[in-house]
Amino acid sequence: MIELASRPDEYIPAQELAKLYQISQSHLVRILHALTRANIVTSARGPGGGFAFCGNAKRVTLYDIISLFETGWPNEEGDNMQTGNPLAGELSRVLNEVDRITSATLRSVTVQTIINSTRRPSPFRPISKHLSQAL
Amino acid sequence: MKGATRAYVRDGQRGITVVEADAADLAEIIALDARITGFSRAEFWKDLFRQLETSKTLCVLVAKSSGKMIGYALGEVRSWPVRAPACGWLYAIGIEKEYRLHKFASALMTELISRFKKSGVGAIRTVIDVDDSLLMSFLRSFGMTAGPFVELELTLDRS
Repeated sequence: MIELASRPDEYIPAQELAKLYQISQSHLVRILHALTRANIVTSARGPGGGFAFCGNAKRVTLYDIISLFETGWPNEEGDNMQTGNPLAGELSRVLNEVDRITSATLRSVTVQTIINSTRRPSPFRPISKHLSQAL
Repeated sequence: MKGATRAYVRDGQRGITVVEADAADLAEIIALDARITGFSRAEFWKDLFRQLETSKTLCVLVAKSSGKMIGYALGEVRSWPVRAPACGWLYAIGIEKEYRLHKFASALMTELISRFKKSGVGAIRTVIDVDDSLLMSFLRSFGMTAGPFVELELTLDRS
């Protein structure tokens, strides 16, 4: 979908996308149809047809996309596994912490941010040995 | 972090001017901050402006349009207790609600980043509410990502 959004004026055939990302075309088409039902992607038949991004790239987040396919995740209720087992409860709290961070991250990354990030020099700087020792 | 006043023009229509705040801006920034955050922090800003008179590391920028203050950004170059090199810290950024999505925050952020770069630091950091998706998304649009540190806290039992 991000490939579609990065080429805003094109209808791209599913076959081309499947080849580009080396994934099953039939599986990809199912995903694209789900995105079409969510009004994030549109399609056109015939020569020059295919799929195109039709959402607002500055507003659609990774969370919006993933939540279409991962129902029930993340657990917004903060399930504490009411088993009465304190070890299970603590483990559940840790997993909820992970979910909360993951959810916040996905909610804050828009499709446009992903596209823009590929066009600027990588800001990634591995943590220095000196620094890791200092910590 | 003193720098020259820089003017931004959007679409050739609305002029956005980003300037360093000075004493004359104090009352207006207190009122603006109260409208944005919903609570008054007059003493915080007064204390900050006193520090500004002598600080070489603090930076308070204000964005104006037709002379009216629309937003502010507060930053500083500083080290911190973990032995990481000094970096630029974004402490706060706020825009009058009806002026959001009009590039005022982008102008402030661009100017702040420019000043941090000129000061020689290699990174910019900030700490924000994990559920503030809007602000996090805005900062990510400038290339900010999760850094090598994570904030932890302990709720103290005061009984």
